Amino acid sequence: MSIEVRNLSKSFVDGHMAVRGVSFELGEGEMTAFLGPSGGGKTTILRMIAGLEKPSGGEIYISGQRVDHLPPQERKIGVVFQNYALFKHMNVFENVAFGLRVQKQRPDVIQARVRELLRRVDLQGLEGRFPDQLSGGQRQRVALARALANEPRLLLLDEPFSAVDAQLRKELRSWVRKLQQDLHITSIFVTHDQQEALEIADRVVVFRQGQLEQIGTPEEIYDSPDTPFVAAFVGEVNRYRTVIKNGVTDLGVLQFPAGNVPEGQEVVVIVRPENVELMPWSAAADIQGIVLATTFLGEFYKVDLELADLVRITAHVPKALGGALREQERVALQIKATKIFNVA
Amino acid sequence: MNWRIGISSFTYAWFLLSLLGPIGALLASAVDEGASRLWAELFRPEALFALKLTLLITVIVVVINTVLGILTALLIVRHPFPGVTVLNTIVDLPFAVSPIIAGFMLVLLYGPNSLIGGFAGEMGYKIIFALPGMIVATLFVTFPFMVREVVPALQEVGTYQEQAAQTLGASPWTIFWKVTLPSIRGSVFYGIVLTVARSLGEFGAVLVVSGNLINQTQSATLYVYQAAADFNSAGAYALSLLLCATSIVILVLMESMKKYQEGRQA
Repeated sequence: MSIEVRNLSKSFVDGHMAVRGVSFELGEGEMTAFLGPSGGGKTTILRMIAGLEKPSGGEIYISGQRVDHLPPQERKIGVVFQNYALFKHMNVFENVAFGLRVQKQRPDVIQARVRELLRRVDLQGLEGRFPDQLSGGQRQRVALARALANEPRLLLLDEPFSAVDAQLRKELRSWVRKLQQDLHITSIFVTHDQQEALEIADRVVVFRQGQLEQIGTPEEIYDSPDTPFVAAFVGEVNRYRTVIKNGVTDLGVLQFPAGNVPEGQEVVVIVRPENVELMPWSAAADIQGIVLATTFLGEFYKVDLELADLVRITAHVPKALGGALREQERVALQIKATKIFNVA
Repeated sequence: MNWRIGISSFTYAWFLLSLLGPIGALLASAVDEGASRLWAELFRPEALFALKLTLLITVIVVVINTVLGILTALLIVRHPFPGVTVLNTIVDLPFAVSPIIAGFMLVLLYGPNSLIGGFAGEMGYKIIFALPGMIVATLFVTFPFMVREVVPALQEVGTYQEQAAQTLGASPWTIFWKVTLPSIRGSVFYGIVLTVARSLGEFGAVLVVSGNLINQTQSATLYVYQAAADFNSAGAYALSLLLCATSIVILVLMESMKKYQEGRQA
């Protein structure tokens, strides 16, 4: 089911504007990540789509049908809450069966459907357990099965992986992704973890202070960020503020071509550390630097360098090269890609 | 560690003198009277009437107080409105006001010479010096018990389970019965137990509003009071023992309930 949000806004009783005129459209069967720092408004938008929060303005459409005036009961949207919100006084079976019982399904239908869902989420044999007898990962899968029981047209997940430890999180992530693809159900999940968003989403919507910063595929978001904020939020960056002078950025040795940015324009220059390539020093190199520190980060080394004019830059370099670098060693640099943003 | 022994022996002595002692004294005096005498006293028509009246009041009060208490708690926690803090304070009023004074206030409001009482009298109903007054008085003194148990329970449970139920299509009515009530049932049970205990034992407020008429408005505690005043010690002992035993049963019930709940949570 496609979902469209038009000019959605939300201000709370205390006057706080949580969401300011957000519009976007998501395709059918896609997994979308709402990404942003806390307080960005992403959970509020999710709750408005679910009907748990009343918008102050704007419209929400699911498959072309306007739903923002409907109570949550009539929206056919499955929700997995951050803390799972399982019914503590019901066992696993009853939790999953709840939505079916509300629909007054026949007992044999309920039996069959719950069994099938529990098989799907790999919880057979735990029907009789109560939520407080389950591990975090199991609870999440019960919440997922419960949300899917009524065959919702849309699945919403609010920070679904935040309550489990790092190891389990990765496992659950790919597992949820696979389930979503198997069922081909349009899904949105809220996260503040950029890696999570890039890894399992078809599309990423970045929010900041209640506004939509950018919407795009993970590749677009990472490689062509619309704003310095998006660039910095979805990955590591070197960030410089300067002006355009003589058609290049006025950053000492870092003179990047300004393209069609006008002369004298204030700009922010973003360079991702993996786009900084280190080479053996040569006097002829355009950019030269001195190694200040190297930090081993498992898959690569993070190298802090100082260039001429005291400009500093961080590079991510492969293990083989990084391990051999010494402090105060002189190296040559090449910047493979940069991004220049006008400052308003 | 001498001071420790000192403090604990003082506590035990105090406990004995102030709590266990009186129960022991009641038992001893009752035994002196002889079991058959007490048994006979229990079955005097006036005593039986008083017990039945107390039971009736207790049942009615428990039903009304449970419903009203849960509704009030839901209002305070889930639908806070301007002035909710005032309401929250007023809920505790019966804790602070002496039951006698509460009874007096009810007589002023509902008595035959008052506006409400006068109107009810015109319609042929009596509130004060009759069963309705005794129920209202008992409701007044027991009101905080249910609210004070349920408010923290509702706060602790939060609203996420209810929201989950909403997204699964459940109506507010279904949510209340299938989600909200079961998740606070322990506290509701506790509130009921406290209400029962207080209703059985209420004296002051009921004394003022009932008029203490034998076979009409004399509840069990009023009967004990009257019997003691009339030097019918066997009658006083018999009902006192019964009320006291009931209270102990209730206490034990409460403790086992607590253990059961703690067991579930572990």
